[in-house]
Amino acid sequence: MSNDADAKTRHVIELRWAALETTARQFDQFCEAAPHVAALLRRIPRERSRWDDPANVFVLPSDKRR
Amino acid sequence: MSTDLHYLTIAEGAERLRQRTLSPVDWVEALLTRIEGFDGELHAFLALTAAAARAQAVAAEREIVAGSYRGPLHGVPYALKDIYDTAGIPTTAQSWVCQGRIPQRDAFAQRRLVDAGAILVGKLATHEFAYGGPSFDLPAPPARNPWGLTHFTGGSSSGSGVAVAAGLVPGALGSDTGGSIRHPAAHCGIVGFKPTAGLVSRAGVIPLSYSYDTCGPMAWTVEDCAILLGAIAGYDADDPQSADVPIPDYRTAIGRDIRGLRIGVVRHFFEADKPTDAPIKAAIATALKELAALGAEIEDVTLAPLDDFAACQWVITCAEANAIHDDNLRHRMTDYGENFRYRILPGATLSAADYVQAQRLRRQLIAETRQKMEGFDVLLTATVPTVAPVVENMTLSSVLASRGITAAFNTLGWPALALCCGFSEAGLPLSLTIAGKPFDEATVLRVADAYERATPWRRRRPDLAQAAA
Repeated sequence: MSNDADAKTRHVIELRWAALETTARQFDQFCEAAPHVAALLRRIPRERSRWDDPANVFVLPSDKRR
Repeated sequence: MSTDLHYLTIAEGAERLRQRTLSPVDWVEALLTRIEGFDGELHAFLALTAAAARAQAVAAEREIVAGSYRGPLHGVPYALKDIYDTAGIPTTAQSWVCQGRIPQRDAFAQRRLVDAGAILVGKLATHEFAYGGPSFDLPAPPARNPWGLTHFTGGSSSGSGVAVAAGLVPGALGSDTGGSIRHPAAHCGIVGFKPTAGLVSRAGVIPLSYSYDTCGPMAWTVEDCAILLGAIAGYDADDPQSADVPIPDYRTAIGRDIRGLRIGVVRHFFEADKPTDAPIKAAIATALKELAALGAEIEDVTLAPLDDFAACQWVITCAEANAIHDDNLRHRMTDYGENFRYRILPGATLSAADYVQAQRLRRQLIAETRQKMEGFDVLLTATVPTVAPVVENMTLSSVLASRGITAAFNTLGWPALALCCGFSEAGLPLSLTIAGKPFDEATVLRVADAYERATPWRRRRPDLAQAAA
């Protein structure tokens, strides 16, 4: 199977996991956007210290805001 | 001061209302006439609230004459991007998904403007759910740029940009998740101000991203943005992100000098990371000379690569947008426009780890930039990399490509203001961005206002007859 066919098969599975049904045109557009998305994801570092908190950790509201 | 009622700024009109040399009834009527004359081509408005506006104008006039003047927005017309809930008035996010949706409550910001005595004229065009566009498969056509009808307005607060630039209203509210206030402000030649995350409540505003959505003003001048921001800023328990911070009188930042203020130029954003059109670079070079002549100290500063900010903003926004639209995407996929689908569907495949890693990167970028910012009062960079493109030449992916610079300041959550810094040879607006430290909106406004007053750009308005030609 060519790389293109591999990628398309992967995208079919991804959409099925997301429970999304697309038309043929919507699927083609999804495939067209995929390389842009992959490039963006490559910018996100994966190796982090376990103490490296995300920016959206929950903070209990202070008394004033409760 | 403008003699045309439709080109009065909020500050000019407010002063005349206060002195009772202008009636809010006349101002509202002049704008409704102008909207009737030009909006058939501009498509800035999705809905007019003409009858209510006329009644409110009469009431405002009565109050002002009776000596009950409420302040600089009393009797001032404005309009809202159609993602702000308005009680009893359709709020649709310009989507088939929300046709017929009529909220029962006003958004927080709308309530604040009503309390200030301002007069809602109508609801403005947006890219679908503040994330698509320009789209031709939605319930209404996309808004058109008054500087050239074939050119892109920018988005997603497209109607807000157009309505202010064309003199249909003196001020409007937009929302900004990746640049949606500053992008149309840039292409429409107006001022757009994304305040610090948490300064203005998002309660009652149709969400796109819980991490990044920010409400803010769009107007012809920096001073008008200061007036609008002063009315809508403040703590609100209905928005978990709302910050309990003191709200200064932002108008005190207007008309001041900027001697000794330190401006960090993020040059690599628009020269290396996102190479920008030559006229924009030239206009920024000239602006830096003008700011130096006003007494500011100018120095380059290097932040993280723009792509890091953009990736962080995209992953978080797209993951959160998918959570918000999850049910409708599964059951009503075809009710969304093509542009929105193109942008949101890739987010359906993001993993939980992708989202958390992007949130970790966000914290890192904020910490790094805070350190770099220590020697500066504000940062300056380009707003968008190109002048407004021709809509016909745009592809589904081209809106994505133009958004990188603005997204950096959503990732940071810091205040960022876009303002006009000249025009291209074809007469299209150019724009620069001034960004500041968290909750230091006043310094951003001070620098932007000093620049605006020292330059001639606010004296030029779009020629609507020419734009149509």
